[in-house]
Amino acid sequence: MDKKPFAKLEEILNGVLKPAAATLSQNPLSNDGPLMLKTVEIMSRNIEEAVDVARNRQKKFVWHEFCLTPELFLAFDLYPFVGETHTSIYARYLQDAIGEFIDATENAGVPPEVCSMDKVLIGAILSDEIPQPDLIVTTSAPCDSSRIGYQVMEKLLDAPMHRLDAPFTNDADAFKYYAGQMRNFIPVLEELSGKKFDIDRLREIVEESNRALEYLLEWDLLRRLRPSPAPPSILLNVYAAVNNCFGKPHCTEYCKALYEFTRERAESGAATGEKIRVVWQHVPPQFGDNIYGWMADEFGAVVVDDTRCGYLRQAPIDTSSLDSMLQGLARHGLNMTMGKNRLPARLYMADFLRARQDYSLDCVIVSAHAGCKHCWPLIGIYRDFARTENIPFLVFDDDFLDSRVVSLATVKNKIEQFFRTMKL
Amino acid sequence: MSEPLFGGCDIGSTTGKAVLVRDNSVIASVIVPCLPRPEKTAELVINEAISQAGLSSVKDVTYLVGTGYGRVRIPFANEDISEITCHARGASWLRSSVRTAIDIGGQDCKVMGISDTGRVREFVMNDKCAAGTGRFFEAMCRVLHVSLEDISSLSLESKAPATITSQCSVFAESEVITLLNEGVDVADIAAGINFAIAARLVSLARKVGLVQDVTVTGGCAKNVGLIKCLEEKLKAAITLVPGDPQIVGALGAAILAREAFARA
Repeated sequence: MDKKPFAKLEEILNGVLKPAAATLSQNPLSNDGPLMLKTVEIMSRNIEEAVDVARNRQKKFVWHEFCLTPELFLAFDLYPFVGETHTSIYARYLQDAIGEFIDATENAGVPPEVCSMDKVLIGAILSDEIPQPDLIVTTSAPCDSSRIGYQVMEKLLDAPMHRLDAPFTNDADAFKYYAGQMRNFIPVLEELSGKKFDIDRLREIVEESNRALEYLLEWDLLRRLRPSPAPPSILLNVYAAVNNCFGKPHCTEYCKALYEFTRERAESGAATGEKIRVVWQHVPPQFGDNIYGWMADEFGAVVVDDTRCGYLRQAPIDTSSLDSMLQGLARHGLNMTMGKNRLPARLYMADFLRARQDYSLDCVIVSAHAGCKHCWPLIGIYRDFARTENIPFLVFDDDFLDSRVVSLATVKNKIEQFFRTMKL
Repeated sequence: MSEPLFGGCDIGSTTGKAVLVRDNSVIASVIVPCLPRPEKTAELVINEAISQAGLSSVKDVTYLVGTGYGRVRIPFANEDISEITCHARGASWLRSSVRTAIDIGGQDCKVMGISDTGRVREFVMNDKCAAGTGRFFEAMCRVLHVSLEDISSLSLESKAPATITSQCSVFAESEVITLLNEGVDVADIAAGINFAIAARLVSLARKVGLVQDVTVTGGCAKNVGLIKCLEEKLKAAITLVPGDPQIVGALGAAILAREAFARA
């Protein structure tokens, strides 16, 4: 029997997100309820759109990986979809699907030590969850696991794949080089979409994403206040909510709401109960309770920044010319999620140092994702730095998608022991 | 008026421990096997400690700190403190030069870096399984039909320790069965078990950074064979604290109770 693509995503939409939105619109449950409702709504909208395009094919479906942002695809009226972002949504709202996908992948012969993000995507393809893409776009970054993973996906999906070469530096020359790769990619998109490239359309979309980024930058400044007025439980979901839709007006609307809600809380001096300021490096567990909400409720520990929100801290793009736009999109893509994995560790350390200065942190938590060869080598460097600077530092291993590797109860126990022992 | 009396009650996963301290001296210390419910274990162990000290009731204890897995279920505790803090404090109180404490409990193990003032500087806990814990030893004893004490003494007799590579207690059990079937000497298997655990602990200890003096606390510290293997793997001497290493957490809790009372 043929399964409809995104059947499980639709299950999340109808079984979790829509009922949650209905409940929150009737009763906000907490002071954060109105913003939580907007977060649920944008996630619902994104999923609705993905399900609709996957089934009705009114647009060409382009699966693109990290190191790229949606704007260039939107300029050709294509539907860009980042599978990796959606692994967090499956993990958060349908954990059983994660186990099912991973098991399908490992049963098909993929080694268990491969990153679960790739295993989930391969399993989703094997389980007919993922629609047949019209094009897969990937790069030479961000990590070795996904380099292998995308070859498997290409084979399984039997779809054309375009690869961009991501440079190993992160300066103006690097952005220029990568922009050249994107310029060479334009004819591929023209052929796929059957549309001529229209610079004004791209400008329009980039200006839209610039507006969203400006709100996010303002929101970032607010999170630096002590106490932080940003609702901690929302921070866990922001990335999944916006990463797939930059350049679309509803993304800008959401970023505006995020900023305005946080600003109003700052202005009204609403009590947040913040006692401990935490910066979370790498990706927190996506399954079970909202770990950030739990930390705030139990210990007054507020996560003021995490790696994924750090990725959203991008300066807007100069829209004066095609070169400036492509170089701006290159800068965003290369610095977006996992894009920095291609870079030397010292640049990660620069982020770590910046987080310390910007957010007046009290401690750092690092969850080291099993299968991530880019995260693990940094831990010793982080730890040495934390020791030198006398910053309380907790590191533990987990799998941020698969609760079977380390349970949420174990993670919570370690965090509790950390806060209590270090007397934070 | 009598001197105030301070108590520490450590309800772990396999045993309950209680220590009473007065005038800077331990006046009672008791270890009992855990009952199904932590509050019952707590009542049992504290009543035995009270009796050992010649007192009549837990109400005679001025201030008591609970610790261990069951710490929040100790009905008579004035407060609860994490076992990491308590083990570090206990070890530091017994031997002020201790800077690294390795606690091998029934269900988990932890390595603590301790500051000059006895505070936890840094710590790391074991993760997903029973590797490096008392449960691992229990599983191996079951297969070998020996006691925990036997593992220690047999290990010291070994001439050629067997290699046990599995960190998982279930897989290690299979390995031990295979070794037995191959006719490997039990003493060599016992040493292999101790080396396997030591390897796991060394890996944790290196994450915290090994600073001398190093001590081992918890029930497994009584396994002399394990301590020897640990010293070999760590390439460092281990200085055991005076007295019973299994009560260090409860003792630390009692010391912290005294400090909390002094602050109040």
